[in-house]
Amino acid sequence: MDEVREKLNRNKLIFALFISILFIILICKFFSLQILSNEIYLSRSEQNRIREVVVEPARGLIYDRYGNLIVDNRPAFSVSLIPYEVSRSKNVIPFFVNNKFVKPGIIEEKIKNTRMVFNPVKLIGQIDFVGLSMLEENKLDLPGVVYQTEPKRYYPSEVRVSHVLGYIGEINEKEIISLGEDHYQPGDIVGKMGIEKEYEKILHGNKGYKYIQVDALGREIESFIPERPNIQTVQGKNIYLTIDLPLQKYCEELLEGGKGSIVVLNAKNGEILALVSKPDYDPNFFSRNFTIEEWKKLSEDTSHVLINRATVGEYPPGSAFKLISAIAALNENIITPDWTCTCPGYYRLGRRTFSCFRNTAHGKLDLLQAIERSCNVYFYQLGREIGIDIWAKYAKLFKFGKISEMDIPEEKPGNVPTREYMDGIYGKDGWTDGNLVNMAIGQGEILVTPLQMAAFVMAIGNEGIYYKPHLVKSIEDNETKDRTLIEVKSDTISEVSEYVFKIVKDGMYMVVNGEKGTGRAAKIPGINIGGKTGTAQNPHGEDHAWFIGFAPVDNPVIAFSILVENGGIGGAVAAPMARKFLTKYFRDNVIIAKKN
Amino acid sequence: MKKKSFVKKIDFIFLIPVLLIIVAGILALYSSTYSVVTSETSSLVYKQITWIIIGLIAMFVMIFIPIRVIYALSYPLYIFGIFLLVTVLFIDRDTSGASRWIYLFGFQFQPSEFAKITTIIALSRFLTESKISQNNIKDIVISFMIVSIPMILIREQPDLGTSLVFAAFLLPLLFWADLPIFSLFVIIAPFISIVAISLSTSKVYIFLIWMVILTVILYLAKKGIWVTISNYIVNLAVGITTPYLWNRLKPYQQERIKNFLNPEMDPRGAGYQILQSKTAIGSGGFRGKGFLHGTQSQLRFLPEQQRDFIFSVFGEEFGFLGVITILGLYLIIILHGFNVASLSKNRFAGYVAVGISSIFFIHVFVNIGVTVGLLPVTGLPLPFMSYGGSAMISFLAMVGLLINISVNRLKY
Repeated sequence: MDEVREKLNRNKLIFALFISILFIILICKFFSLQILSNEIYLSRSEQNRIREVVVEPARGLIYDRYGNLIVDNRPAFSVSLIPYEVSRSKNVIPFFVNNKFVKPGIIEEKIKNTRMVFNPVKLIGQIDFVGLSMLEENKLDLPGVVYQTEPKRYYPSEVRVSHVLGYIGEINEKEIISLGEDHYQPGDIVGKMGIEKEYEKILHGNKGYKYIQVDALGREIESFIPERPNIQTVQGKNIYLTIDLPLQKYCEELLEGGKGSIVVLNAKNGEILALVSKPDYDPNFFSRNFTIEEWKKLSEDTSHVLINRATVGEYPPGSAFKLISAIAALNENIITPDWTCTCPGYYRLGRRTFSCFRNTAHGKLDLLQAIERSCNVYFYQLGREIGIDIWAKYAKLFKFGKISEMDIPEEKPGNVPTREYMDGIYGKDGWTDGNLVNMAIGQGEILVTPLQMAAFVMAIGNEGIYYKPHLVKSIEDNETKDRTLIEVKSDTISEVSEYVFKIVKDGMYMVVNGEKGTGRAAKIPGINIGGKTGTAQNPHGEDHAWFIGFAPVDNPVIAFSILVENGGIGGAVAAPMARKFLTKYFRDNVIIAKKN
Repeated sequence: MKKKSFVKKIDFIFLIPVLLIIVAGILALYSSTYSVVTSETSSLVYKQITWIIIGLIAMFVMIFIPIRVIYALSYPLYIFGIFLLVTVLFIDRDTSGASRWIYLFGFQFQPSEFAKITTIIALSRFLTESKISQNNIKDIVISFMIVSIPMILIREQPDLGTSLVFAAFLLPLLFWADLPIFSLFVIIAPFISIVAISLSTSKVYIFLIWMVILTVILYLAKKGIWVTISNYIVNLAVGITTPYLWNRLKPYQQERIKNFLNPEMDPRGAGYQILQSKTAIGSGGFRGKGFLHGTQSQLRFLPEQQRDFIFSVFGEEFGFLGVITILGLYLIIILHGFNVASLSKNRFAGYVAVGISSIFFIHVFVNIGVTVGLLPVTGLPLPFMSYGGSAMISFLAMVGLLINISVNRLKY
């Protein structure tokens, strides 16, 4: 036993010795590196370090349906500072402050609290050429100053399309959370409105990473490190909009100087050919450094320049909404087209008197005539015949009162006042038929957006087929050049019979082509246009002028809504605009057809 | 009363150093993933902590399993280990052409780690019952085979470093089993020949010097003519065939060895890593740069850094003082392991303790040796510090076994 113990002991000691020797060798090596050669390695470690540079991907471009370039990229340079190096240099901060690049204290603020002392912190968003040259000339005295390219949008065409496109800007905290922290970080530029926002992830592409070796002054020694190959950026995908740029331009000119909206849809598939909201802004505004004052001026402008009136503006539709009453009454078999009313120019209901337009006495009218001449009295009575429940039901059937979920985020639903709604606001006994008759002619609590009106009239023109309005036609991958078409969503309003649509369409034809049609100003020889005017009373000022319609009546290819805020009479102000752009559209397309 | 006996069942000479090293490892891991811009980072620390917790559970399990149960299960566990190694070869190779992992319930798991433990246990059991001390050839051969099978399977994966680990505990175990020294020498000699011939590519005389040394030893051993001549032949043969075998190494393995020999030659190449490691360590100085103040950001972008160069990160930030502290802690664990082996009345347990201590030693010496440029990069993890779940759990399980053996050393 003892012998065994002794042997084991001996073995143990041999191992202990052997292992200790090897450990001592290790310790000696560390001693040599850390004590004897400390200076050498310290200076070497100062001399080189790797910097990870994020490379912004090129943002996807935006074209119109014909391939005209609407939104392009233009490189801009931003100036960033590396906190570690700047805080150790005596020159950098004074240089920036003395040359008026930034106000005093700003730099200290920005680099103070970052943990990542080797990563650049953005200081100046877009530097001009003069500033850039100055920084370059003094590079040796300015360690830790780096330039990065930043995406800036550039709009080569004269057409604005402002609200459709939206704009890009620096990301905020909420957006980082909703877009995902794994791909986005503070300082990134993202879409803030419109298509730029809705399709942010598609347009953005993927960031790349470059690993470069720099010396203690921050100068690049080596731009490629084998252990850490660069990660290439992936360019953002391009978007082809449904917008017809020449048409859009023309419509923008039509509304120039005024307030309002024009929406033009392709009735065959819901593609938005033109979406104009005036007043608008020059999209190039966002591509340069603007001051806080300039931004305030833009965003607080009382004419609400940044609002997309076409999708967000909620207005009373006026007489244009009479069509709902007509459709409802016909479909529910409450009336036939021969149902007549006599209009003396006014209508008495209880103690109130409601008038027809300019107190015109229309005399005895059937449905088609009532539509043609937009007789209020006819529709006051019709409204009472159908009642609020049916009226609201049909309004909702035609998708009023809710958003269409189209492909820009800015959209409002409007309002369809149901019985419950009215009870809620006024109390059960707080409202009467007096309110109802007003709503029947598109006044009162009923609110719609120009987009909804265009989609509405498209559904009538298509005799029940509703296509979801959309702005994007296809998305193109920059590498493969593959184009993915956006799916067209459609819906059929089957509750309403074809017969009803045909009657209403006849009425709308008369509006434009009848002798007494309120929309005569839209008439174009050779093209059958159907439409409806509207003059919406507005408590804040002049009436809003509406004109909605489609062409050609039998098999529409185009549907539209025009709204001129405070424009006055629909037939006088809005209808002529329709004539103008429809003329242009059909002429241009005939030419295109002829060319093909 | 339960509490008292529980505490008695723990050998704190193992436990405390292990826990301290674990803490050091977490600090180093946290620091190494700290200043990277992309977000693929600090989750590593949380994952590692998860592995540590699981490992500690495994450790406690191993503390309380009776040794005789382990003894009884030695061979079945070994075979299961082989089975896993074979299985992993048939699973799809990963992106770098290696297949080392099995995915189980969504967790990655390295069978080679498991195989290390099972092989030690199986070999220990075998040696307990064998006649190695009497130069029994059959027993020697079987010992080799027990180790070679998993070694070859692992090397096929391919994982050169891990297969070397197997060789590294075989020799101590044979020695502990009282294999006569000369026999040990006979086994080791060819490897020395390989090293000698490799070094001779630049300095031709090295191999010749070795042959001279060989002659002297053989003469002094006086083992008879046949033994002497056969040894000569074997070693010469090895010396001649090694260059041929060199060409059969995969390029990256060749590169690793070449760059180890002269890292300065190609700073952009693989030797770069070692250069950066030495720079990091050297720049740490006596007291280190301080927690989170290491500036060797180039290391921070290397994924292998969390495994192969974790000690460099530590060395940069905690300096020479930190380094000798941790080395001291490792030394305590390893030496105590051999101590426990010598004190254990259960021979099997003694072998197991030797095997485990050898494994710890080899990993510590090789991994840290790499970071200071003594050895080419091998991919061996540093116990309790390198990032990696399988390794952490298996090392902690091994510590559990050591504690078990220590506490029960007076039992047979």
